[in-house]
Amino acid sequence: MKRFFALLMITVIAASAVFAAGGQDSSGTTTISVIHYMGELQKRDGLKQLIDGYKALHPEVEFEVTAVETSNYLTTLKTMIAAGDTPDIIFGKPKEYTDLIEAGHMADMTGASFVENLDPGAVPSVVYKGKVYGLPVDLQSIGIYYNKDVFAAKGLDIPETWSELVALCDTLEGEGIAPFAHPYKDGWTVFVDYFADEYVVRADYPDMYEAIEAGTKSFADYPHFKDTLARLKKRASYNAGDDWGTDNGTAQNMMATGKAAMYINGSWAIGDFLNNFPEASIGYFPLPAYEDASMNKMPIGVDDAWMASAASENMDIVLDFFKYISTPEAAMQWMKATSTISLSANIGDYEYDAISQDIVDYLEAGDTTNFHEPMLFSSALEDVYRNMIVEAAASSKDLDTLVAEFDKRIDEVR
Amino acid sequence: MTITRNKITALLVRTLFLGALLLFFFSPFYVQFIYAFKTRADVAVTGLSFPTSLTFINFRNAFDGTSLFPAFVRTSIVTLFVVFILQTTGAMAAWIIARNQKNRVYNSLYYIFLAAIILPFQVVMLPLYTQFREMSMLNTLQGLILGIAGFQLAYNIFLMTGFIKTVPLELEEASLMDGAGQWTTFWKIVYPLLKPITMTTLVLNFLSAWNDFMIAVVVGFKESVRTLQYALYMFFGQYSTRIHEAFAAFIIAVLPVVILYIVLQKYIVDGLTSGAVKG
Amino acid sequence: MTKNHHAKSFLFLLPALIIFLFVVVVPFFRGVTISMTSWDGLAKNMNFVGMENYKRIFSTDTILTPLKNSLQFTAITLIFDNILGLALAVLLVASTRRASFLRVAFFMPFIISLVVSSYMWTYLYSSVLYPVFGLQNPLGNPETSNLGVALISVWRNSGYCMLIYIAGLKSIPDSLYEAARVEGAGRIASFFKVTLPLLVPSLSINITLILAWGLKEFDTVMVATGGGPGRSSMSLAFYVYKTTFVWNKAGYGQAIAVVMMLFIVTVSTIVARALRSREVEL
Repeated sequence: MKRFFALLMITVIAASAVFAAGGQDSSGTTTISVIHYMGELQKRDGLKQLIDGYKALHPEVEFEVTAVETSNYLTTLKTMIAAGDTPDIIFGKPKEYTDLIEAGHMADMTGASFVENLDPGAVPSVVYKGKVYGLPVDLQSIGIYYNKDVFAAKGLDIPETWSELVALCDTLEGEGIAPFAHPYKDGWTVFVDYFADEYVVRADYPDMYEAIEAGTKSFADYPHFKDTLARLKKRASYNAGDDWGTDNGTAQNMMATGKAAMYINGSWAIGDFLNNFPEASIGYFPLPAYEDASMNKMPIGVDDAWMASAASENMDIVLDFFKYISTPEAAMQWMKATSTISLSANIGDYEYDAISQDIVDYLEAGDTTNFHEPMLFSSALEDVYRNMIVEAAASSKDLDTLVAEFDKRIDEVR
Repeated sequence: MTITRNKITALLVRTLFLGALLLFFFSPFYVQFIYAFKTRADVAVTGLSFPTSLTFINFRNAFDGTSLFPAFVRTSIVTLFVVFILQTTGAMAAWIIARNQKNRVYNSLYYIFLAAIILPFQVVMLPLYTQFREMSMLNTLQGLILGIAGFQLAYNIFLMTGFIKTVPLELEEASLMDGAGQWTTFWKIVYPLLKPITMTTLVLNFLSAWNDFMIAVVVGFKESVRTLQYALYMFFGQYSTRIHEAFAAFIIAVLPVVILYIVLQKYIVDGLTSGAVKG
Repeated sequence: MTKNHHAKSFLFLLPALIIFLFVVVVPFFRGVTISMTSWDGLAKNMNFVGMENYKRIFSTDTILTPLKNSLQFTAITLIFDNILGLALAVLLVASTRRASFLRVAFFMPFIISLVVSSYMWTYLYSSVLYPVFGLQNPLGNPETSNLGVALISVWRNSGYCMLIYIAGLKSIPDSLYEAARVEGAGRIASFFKVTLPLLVPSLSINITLILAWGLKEFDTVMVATGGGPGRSSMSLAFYVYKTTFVWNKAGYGQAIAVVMMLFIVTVSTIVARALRSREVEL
């Protein structure tokens, strides 16, 4: 027995040495920690390229990158912050994390050098109460990808009103083609489906989120919310088989190979199609939420954006890195890798792929609505909101009951 | 005639039922096995059929360049310490309580431990987190070890006290009268007699540390400290398309537990049932 | 007993006691304090609000969904774990090599972690169920998501129940079966007249444990569905976690945790008492 304990004690001491050794940093290098939720491979590669490029110029800087799944991102980030362990660089759009900004966790980067590299139109999207809290990298839109061959074969045109979209879906169903490939298994894809619609109408109710957050209004006070939910449920009703068991990759495959005609997602997925289905002929159009075609614009906002921790000890390096990202060369590199539309100024001429070109056409025609302009929910309410949407899409309860239920949940967390 | 027919139907029913249960219980393992040992290309062609050749590439990819192996090592260390702490302090405490239950203090302590078994972790989750944060113990292996061990103590003490009460006092009394101290008496005389129950608690404690997820989520979430279950959770979230690697990683994660169980199963079964039935 | 002996005895107890105090007792009391503040988990200060949080829990009905989910989950696992456990025990009680091997096999789900078992099942649900059986993923439908999660738990805990029942079966003396046979009772009759009544202690253990585990369920919910879609599979424990760590309502969440604890303790005590009185009868 005694010998056993002696042995155990030695192991204890040896292991303690392991504990102690674990925290040492190799001297001379500074490590910048990064956290993000970019799911697309091309984006992670893009980030790696940016980091490698920066490290080539600054070999004394190391980067520690943590990738988190979208649905866990907020929880993970908050636990880290509350533990005093905030990463230096935080992926996210300032407008969606206003509660963290208010609590003083996000760095105020007003006047930073990267701002002058940006497209001036993009800056307001990362400004909260007059201060800059983020670096917007590229543009986001959420809309409907469609298989051009399927549309052509069935003689279909891009729908410009909601009833045209519904009619289109019914026609497709009649022809034995699934109107939509819904990747609902992944969860976040459901509220992306919702936002494709809500973004189009958001500009007409710019103070909704602010009012609900403040408690002066509730969802029940906005009849258009119920209508938006109704449209979501209508789209969800076109079930391609087992929508809730279909993941994102499978859905993309279904649409690209023509088994389904349409697929709703954000512009961040363009790269997925270009890389995985280069032969497919795919286009993109905004979801026509309104009956009046002239009111249906292409929703745009900021997609990838980087914020910084107010508690970071390496703020100067972080800002320098941000400046690097915003330069035309790095921005071009990012665009090429990720197939996104950059928000940096002075990019110069660039040949977009066919899908991105659809978006750029709307941009150039000025036929857009910016969904990041209004005040949004704080991150806590946003989490409740998004879960509500997912539940609404799947639930068989009637909309009035759902809206009342949702208001109660918002009340609880407000 | 009827007797034979009844016997045959009975046998048929039993076999069918058993077969259905086997299907239900093992289909998840089968799927996992298939995905772990086949390549992605292979599955695209052959689907869920039994593999003709086993490939280990998924196993290599799961650990190459990911943080799973360090998590594996860390979990081993944490488990070692948790088991050590529980097997020693738990047994010691249980002995004292079992032998002194007439004493009001010790008896109340027993009931406090008993009550703690039902306690859900949620009710101490936040304060523990806050406490650890204040003492800079958050995201440390020490914190994880203490957290897991602390939460398992009550159950250990409950199981052991029940068993110790069945061990006759004479041997201890004899030893004490011979002049041996309490320390020697306990470890030399009493502890060896507790083998059935300590083997059970060994397995249960190992499982609680190895399989822990909840405590890690709250006090050990930083990448450099993550233990296996939490690392697997994040891995699957990060690489949800790499199912083959994920399932290969699961198999590796489960292996130590399975081996331990196969080796010690006799004790587990005996211990679980005797200690449990008594309680 | 000398004073020295007493002191030494207490020292024996001390290490365990210190750890227990540090990890369980002190946090528990601290938690009660926190539950009476409006702390959000992020800020430096906590504002005392008395019983405000508790009043809120009982005046709104948002706790009903997780409560219902936990109860449904527990009921399903209780019923099916015992049925399957008993069936397996009866089928595999023999001392043959084959039975022994199968017992080990059926216990396997219990020893793997909840994280791994949840992922295995979510994959099965989404990628195997539809192609092979034409059934849709139960986790995606709010009406069946809680059932889908409960099934994972049934799968996992049946092996444990099986072991308890086997121990119970083995402790029934053969003489009782002899007596029954002499009285002309067939296989089925003796099962109901002899076996089942004498298995009640095993049933009690299973009920007590599974009741407690079921009401506390966290891991499976977090990993398999994250409580979703929406809140349809959110258990009480996960609800506390979300309220505390995600929705910035630490004080309120802590209050819910306390209420949850009281609920579990009450239910467990009532059930334990009921079972014990039943046992005495037999």
